[in-house]
Amino acid sequence: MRPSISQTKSSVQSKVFVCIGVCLLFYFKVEAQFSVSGHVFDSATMEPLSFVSVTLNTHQDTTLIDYRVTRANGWFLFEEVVADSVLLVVDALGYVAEYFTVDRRRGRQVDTIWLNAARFDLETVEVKAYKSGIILNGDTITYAPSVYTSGREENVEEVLKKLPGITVEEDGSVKFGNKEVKELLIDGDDFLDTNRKGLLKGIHAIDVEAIEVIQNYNPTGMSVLSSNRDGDVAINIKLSDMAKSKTRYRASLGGGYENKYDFVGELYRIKQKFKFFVNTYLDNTGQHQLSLFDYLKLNGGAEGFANKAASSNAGAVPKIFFQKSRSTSVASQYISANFSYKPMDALKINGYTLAYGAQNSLQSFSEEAPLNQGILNTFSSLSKNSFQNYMGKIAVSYRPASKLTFDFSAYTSIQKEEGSVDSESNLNGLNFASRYRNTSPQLTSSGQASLQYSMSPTSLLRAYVQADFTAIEREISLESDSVLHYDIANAAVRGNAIGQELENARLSLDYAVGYIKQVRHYSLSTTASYQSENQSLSNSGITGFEVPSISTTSRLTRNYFLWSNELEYSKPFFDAGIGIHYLATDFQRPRSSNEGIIYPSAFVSVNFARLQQKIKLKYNEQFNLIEVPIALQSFELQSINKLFLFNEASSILLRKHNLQLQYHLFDAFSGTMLFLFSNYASGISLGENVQYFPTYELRSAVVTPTEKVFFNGAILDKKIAPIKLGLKSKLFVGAQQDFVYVFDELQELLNTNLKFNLAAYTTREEKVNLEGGVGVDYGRFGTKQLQATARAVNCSFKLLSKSEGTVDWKIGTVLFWEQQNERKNLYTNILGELRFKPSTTKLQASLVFNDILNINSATRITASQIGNNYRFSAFDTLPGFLLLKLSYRH
Amino acid sequence: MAIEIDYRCKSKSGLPDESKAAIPPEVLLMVQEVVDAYYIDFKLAQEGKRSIFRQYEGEAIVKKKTEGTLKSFTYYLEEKDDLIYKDFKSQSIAGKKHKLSRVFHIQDELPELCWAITKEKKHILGYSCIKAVIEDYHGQEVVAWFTPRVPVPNGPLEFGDLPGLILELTKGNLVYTAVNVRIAGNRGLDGKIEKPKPVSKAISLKEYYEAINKSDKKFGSK
Repeated sequence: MRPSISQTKSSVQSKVFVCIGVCLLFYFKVEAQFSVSGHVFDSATMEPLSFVSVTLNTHQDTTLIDYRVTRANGWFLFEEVVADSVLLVVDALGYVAEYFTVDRRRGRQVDTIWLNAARFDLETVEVKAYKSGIILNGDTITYAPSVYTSGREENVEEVLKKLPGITVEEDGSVKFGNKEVKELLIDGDDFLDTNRKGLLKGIHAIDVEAIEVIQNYNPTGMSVLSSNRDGDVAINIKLSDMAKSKTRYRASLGGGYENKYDFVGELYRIKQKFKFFVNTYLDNTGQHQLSLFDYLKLNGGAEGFANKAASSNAGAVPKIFFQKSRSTSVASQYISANFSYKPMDALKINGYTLAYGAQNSLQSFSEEAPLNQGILNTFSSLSKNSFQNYMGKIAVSYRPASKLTFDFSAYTSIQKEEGSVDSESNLNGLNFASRYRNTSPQLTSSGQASLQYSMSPTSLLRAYVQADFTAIEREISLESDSVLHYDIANAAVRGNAIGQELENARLSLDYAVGYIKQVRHYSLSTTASYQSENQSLSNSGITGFEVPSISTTSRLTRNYFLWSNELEYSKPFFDAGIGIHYLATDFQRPRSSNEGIIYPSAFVSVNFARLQQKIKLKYNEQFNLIEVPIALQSFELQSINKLFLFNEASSILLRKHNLQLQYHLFDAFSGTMLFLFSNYASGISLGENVQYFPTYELRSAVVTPTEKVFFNGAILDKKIAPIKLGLKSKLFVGAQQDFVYVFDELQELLNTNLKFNLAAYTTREEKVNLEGGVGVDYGRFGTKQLQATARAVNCSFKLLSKSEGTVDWKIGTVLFWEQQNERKNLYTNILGELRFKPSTTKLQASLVFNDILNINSATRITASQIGNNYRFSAFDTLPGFLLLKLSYRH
Repeated sequence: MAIEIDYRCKSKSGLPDESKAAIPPEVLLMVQEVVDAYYIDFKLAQEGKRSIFRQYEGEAIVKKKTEGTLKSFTYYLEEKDDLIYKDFKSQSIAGKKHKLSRVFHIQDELPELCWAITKEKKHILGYSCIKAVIEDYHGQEVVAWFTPRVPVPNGPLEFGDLPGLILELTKGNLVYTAVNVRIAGNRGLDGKIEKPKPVSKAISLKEYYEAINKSDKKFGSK
């Protein structure tokens, strides 16, 4: 159909309107834009100025809109400036800047701009602008926690765990590198810390301003001598000013299955002059003592145990060896109120107003006064476990001169064993001591004399003298590039007498001589000591023991430094020594008689260590670190009595072109506790995204002279090399071989296992981490075990949104198939934890059943087959618990 | 009018995360300390229409002798005479770079750089700085923080061409941050600004970066 006239007219009209509209829009658009251009000249030389900064800025706040830098002819041009009015700034170093207002209505602008030379110079500005996460200052390393933390940490413990080089153990002990931190200070005050775990968990993370690691820490302020002997390490928690104006508290309450309860209450306020910290712990969720029944369960029952014994080559069936406690985590009750008050600069009062619990270490504090200051230390305790113990002590320390300190203390103690009539013992006494120290650049000498008077149980006057001399390392220059130095580290004479009778004596001498030539350093050190102690306080019924000992150790060390012109650092290190120790002592220390049993004990140590560090930093154009090979090796062989130990501490890490080799052997010789543990792991790249990482492990029981034996059979918590799989996930592949062997006297624990475990792990950030593995376990007594593991751990995901908090959960199961001769077992461990953590409040809730970290303490379901007999059972391998916990902090 | 700027160059991120995971904490601390403690000082000196950007001169360029836990760590960097010379009059750039065991001699026109100015601002050395970004020859983002208050269109390396002095430049994993700005006035500079003498066949900036890029790919670095 043809369009009508009216329709055509209407169509033409509309097209005309559209055209007019487009033209108007174009007109206004063109009208809204304009250009600015110009030439910049030096007003003095009349020459065009190149590399002059020309900027267009807004009038309101001089925000930069556009810029040009003039070239040789001094010309600049801004096209299509979209603004009604702009500020044109023309500026160059050494000239006075010119400002122009450029208006759209004036349209295209071409101006000549003359710049005049400036008539003054600016002053030098120098600001050092780096804030490092770690600041080194002599022996002190200061961490800025904010660099390493995410802000979600709750307490100091979590902050410390994130700082490089610092580790926090399960029992609350803190290590810096491999060294245990001896002191935890709060704002430089030791604060009579006796419950470190409570202190670490109690102090809020947000209150921490800095963490200082003080190496060679010496609370008396005296210098620690001898560079080749390490001093103690202390950590000082510096609190923010904000924290000092607030009183903080935390309460956590848990209760659940099997009448388990767990209460933690903490209250603290730390101000400049007054500090207090109240701890309350009531906890019965610790693992029960390992009973005979538990032991049999762990070993496949009495029949399995008998089979083990019969098949062992030990000859006689060993006696059954049971432990009184499986771990240190037993039920505990503990309340203390710890305070520190410094009313004036010259006086400080420390103390516990009340201590109730089983923590014996409370008694050990003694703080020495700073110069011209006095300290009043008070302490009272009430502890009750198998003993009732009441103790009170008051001590005054005064230091009138830098070299002299006086100490006076009075104490009273009553101890009574429950159910025993005659067991009560009292100990009251006075103690006075004066200490003198003199330090010169070459020699430090110190002396101490003390008088101790015990009022009960018998009147006893004891004198004690001690003298120490220590020479600081002396350097004797041989040539310009060689140095001979010697170091008498310590020479001491100590005597302890009652009347005329020498009761305790110690002579010791440490001597080292070294030679440095250019970059090589050799040193030979010898330590020799003789110690004799013979105490016979039979009247008091305390202890009777003898400790004569002789020891000598020689050690030759050599190290040298090497650097090249490729920023390569290399420090091979050789350290070999030999020592002979003879120790005769009575470990049992019977309380009511002096019939000590003397164990002659010879200690021979052959020590070979080689440390090789080679940190090669090569930087490409982008400064990426592309190669860091590091090697640390150490080997140590020790023999103590009949117990033979193999002890290694090594770590090799080599990274080059996707090849990773890692080798760990852990040293664990600690005090009287002998712990044998070694681990070998090596990884190799199977491609860009996959690495194979077998782990071999040599493991033994923990043995102490008090004949406590601890099990540690967890095998699935190995550190296995992270392997990238995809963009945000990781795959872990590992293999493990365990070897457990304990010798001679501990034959009853013979449990030679050869384990192989292959596990695959995946990790997704912020989501679920899945781990799965299979393992083979071959026991010396015919145990064969297959394991399959599946667990999800360390999971953290947002519940609804970030503001509403998170739910962390862990759940897992370990499936075992085990064959011990005729017996076949199939069992599974189930473990889990659910934790709700709202971020909007300080309240937390968690539901815990068993402990995910320890597969031994789990609910176990077992199916057994012995011949044609089948049996099903379910029990806790070690008593587990189900606990609901609520926690609130302010 | 002359100006001298001291830049301190540090690695932006230190160790990659995957490396950290594989290194024992105590060793990591040592390595991290080395990485953190390591820096190179550069100086940009401009007088008139010429400028030079080079490492500090000295005997051996001693970077840092750390104390504390790294008492034994003493390391040296070989003396290098890498430099970038800019002539604003002839609008040319010349440079000498030691890389891949070779010495490159760069000769090129002063590049005209089209920076994208952002609205982000921060203070460096008390100067209000504006962030600008650009892509380099590898397509990698280069970030500059410049201050219009010092109207010198110059900066570290070959970068500049902004309406103010670059006080911080991030290129790849390297961050050059100004730690000292000295405007010498008419007294002039201590040293002379001289164009480097060619020691090898001259190549352009683009050719130089292509050679570096090829090498990085070969060694698997990003």
